[in-house]
Amino acid sequence: MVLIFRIFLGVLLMYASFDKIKDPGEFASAIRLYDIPFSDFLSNIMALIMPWLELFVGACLIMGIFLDGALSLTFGLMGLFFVAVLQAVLRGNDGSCGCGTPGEDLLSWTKVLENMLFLIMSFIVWRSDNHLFKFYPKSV
Amino acid sequence: MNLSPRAQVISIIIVSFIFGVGYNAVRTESLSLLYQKPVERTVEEVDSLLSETTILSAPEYINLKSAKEMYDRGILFIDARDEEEFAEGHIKGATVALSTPELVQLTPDRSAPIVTYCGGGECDVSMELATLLMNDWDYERIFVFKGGWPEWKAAGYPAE
Repeated sequence: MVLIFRIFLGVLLMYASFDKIKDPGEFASAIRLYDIPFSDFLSNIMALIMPWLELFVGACLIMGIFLDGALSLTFGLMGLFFVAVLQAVLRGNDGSCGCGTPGEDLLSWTKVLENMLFLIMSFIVWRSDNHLFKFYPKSV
Repeated sequence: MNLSPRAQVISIIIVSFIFGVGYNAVRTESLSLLYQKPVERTVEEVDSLLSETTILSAPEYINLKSAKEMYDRGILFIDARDEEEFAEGHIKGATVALSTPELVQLTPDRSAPIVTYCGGGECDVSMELATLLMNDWDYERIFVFKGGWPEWKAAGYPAE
């Protein structure tokens, strides 16, 4: 189960990164629509780095390299996405999610639940001690 | 060599930073690393913006009051949204963004000021249209009403 979650999250992160890498300007606009304090100023740099972070973290999860670090980052990213989507929906924002995941891309309670599910999955994988296909480094 | 989890996290972040910033540097439409909110011209600047001697090098953003002032002076407003959104509601007297040659036919005078707008917020089709008209069709004074249709409607200004 842990391996399935890990691969799923890896594929999800890599898939979500592609459109954002192709068009960081659009992703930066989506970040600004969240109206998070100070996010306007940092929206461009976040839009430039975060998709690559998703891509590399996703690749690490799938390939089993730098797994401990990648799992911490996955949990951090999922936590960030969950909080961002939740606060936006609570404030009545129903604009673009900018999530890059398949399906509807508008902010809604469905998106909040979806992100909560991903957060729980990432927590389970992160806290698990039993990792199959962990190639490099094997243990610390 | 075994890297600790913390070192792995830092390594992944550094590699992502290098790729993100590096890829941005080689892209044709690269972003500035820190976002700067565009300056919107105020109503006090309308006279100088509309002066015949003013030739802009790029489209200028204008705020709601400036847009209303220009509207009252009879300047052409172009709605850059699609026809469906235009049909749902638009600034009274505005024209929907036709194909560029049709727009040019509508206002052949390149020195005539024009205001473009779209759905406000982060929509950028009004700026894209304005840039196209200035760069490819040699228009001299195109203004972009950043607040767009939502701000105009909320202000209760003439709509249809």
